[in-house]
Amino acid sequence: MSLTLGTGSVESAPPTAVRTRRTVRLDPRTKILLVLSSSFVVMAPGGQPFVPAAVVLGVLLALTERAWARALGLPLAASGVAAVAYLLPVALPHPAVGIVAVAAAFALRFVAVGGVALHLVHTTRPTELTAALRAARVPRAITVSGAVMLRFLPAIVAEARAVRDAMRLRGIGGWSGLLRHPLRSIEHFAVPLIASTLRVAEDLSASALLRGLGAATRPTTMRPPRFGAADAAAVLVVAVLAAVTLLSGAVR
Amino acid sequence: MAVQETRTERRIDLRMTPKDLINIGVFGALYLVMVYAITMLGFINPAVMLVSLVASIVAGAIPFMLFLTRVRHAGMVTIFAIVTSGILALTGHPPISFAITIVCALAAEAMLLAGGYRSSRMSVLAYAVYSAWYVGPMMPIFYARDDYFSSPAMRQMGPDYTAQMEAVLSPAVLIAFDVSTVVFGLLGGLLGLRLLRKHFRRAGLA
Repeated sequence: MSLTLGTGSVESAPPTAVRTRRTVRLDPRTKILLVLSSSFVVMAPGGQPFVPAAVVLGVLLALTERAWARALGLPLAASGVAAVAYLLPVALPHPAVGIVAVAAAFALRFVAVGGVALHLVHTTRPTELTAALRAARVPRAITVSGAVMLRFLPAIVAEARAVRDAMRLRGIGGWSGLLRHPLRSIEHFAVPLIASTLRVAEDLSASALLRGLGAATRPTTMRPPRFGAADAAAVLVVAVLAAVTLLSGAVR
Repeated sequence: MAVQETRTERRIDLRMTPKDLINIGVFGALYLVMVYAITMLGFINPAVMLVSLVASIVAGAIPFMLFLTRVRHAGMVTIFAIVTSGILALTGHPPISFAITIVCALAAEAMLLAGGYRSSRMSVLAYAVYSAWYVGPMMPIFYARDDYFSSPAMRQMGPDYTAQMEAVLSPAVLIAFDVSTVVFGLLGGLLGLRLLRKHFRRAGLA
C-alpha cells in the first residue's frame, strides 16, 4: 500500500484521462446538487411521481460518462422493482406479499436516487470532491476529516476482504456463521480489521501531518472546480424534467 | 485547582486539532465499512436480513467505542456524524436521515459531556443514543405511505387490504423499531466495551 494521503491540494495526472476523453464533465458541485435535489424531491412525501424523472436523469448522466451498462440497467431495475411494488399485490393479494411490495415501493425511491448518485461516485475522485466542498465554503473541520475518511475507505475495504478471506479459510465466515454465533463472528471480523487499520493509520497520519494536513492556510488546487456550459445544460435538463412531471398531472 | 479549570475549559472547546480530524476520518471510515459489510451480508440471503441489520448495529459499536476513547472535547461526535451521514446522503440516503443523525449525535455529545469524556458507562449510553439514527433511512416508508396506498394499482386492492398494510406501517411499529435499535445499540456498546478491554487496551490501541 502506498503511504500517501491526498488532501485535495496536490493531484497527479488523472489515471482515467483516456477513458473520459470525449465525455461531458460536470463540476463536482453540480453533481452534488443533482444528487441532493433529486434525493430531496424523490424522498419527500408525495415524491413518488418524480421517480421516472429521476430515473431519466440517471440514464442521461450514465450516457454522458458512456456507462452503457448502467444506462440500460437503471430503467430495467427501476421497472422490475416497480412491478413488484404495484403489480405483484394485484396478482397475489396476500399480506406477506404486501409487505414485500411496500418494501419494493420504498426501494424504488432508492433506485431512482441511486442512479444519480452512481454518477457522482463513478466520475468524482475524492480529491475533486474535497476541492469542490472547499470551494462551496464547507468548514475546514468537515472537509479535512471527510478527505481522510475517503482516503481510508478503500484501504479498509481491502483489509476487510483480507480478513473475510482469512475467516473463510478457517471456516468461520459467511452468513451461516453470523446466524450461529453472531457475537463471536462480529468479534472475529472487527478486531483484526480495526487493529490492522489503526496500524496503517498511524503511518498515514504522520505522513499527512508532515505535509500540512489541517494547516490553517487554504490549500491551492491544481484543477479548481469551474462551472461551465455542461453545468448550465444539466440545470436545463433538470428544469425540463421537473416541468414535464408537474405538467403531466401525476402530482396532486 | 488551576489545572482542573483549564481541563474543563478544553472540554467545551470546539477547536479541532489535525489529530482529532484524522481520528474522525479514520474511525468514520471504519464505522461505515463495519456497518456496510455486515448489512450487505443480509442482501445475499433475505432470511438473515433482520439479523444482519441488528448485527450491524452491534458491530458498529466496536469502532465507535474505540473512537470515543480518543474524544476529549465537544464537537467530535457531531463532525463524525456529519461526515459519515453526509457521505451516505451523497449516495442516495434520504435527507431526513442526515438530520436525524445530527440530532442523535448531539444527544450523544450531551451524554459524553455528562460523563466528563472519561466515563465508560456514559460511552455505552452515547452509542445507544447514537444508533437511533438507523430509523432515518426507513423514514420514507412511514411518512410517504399515502403516496403508495393512493396509487391506481393499490386502489384496486380494496379497503381491507389497505387497512392491513396501514396497520403494519403504523407509528407504533416505527417507535418499536426505534426503541429496538437503541436496545441493540446498548448491547453493542457493552460488547464494544468488553472488546476494548479484552483486545485493544492490551494492544495499546485504546
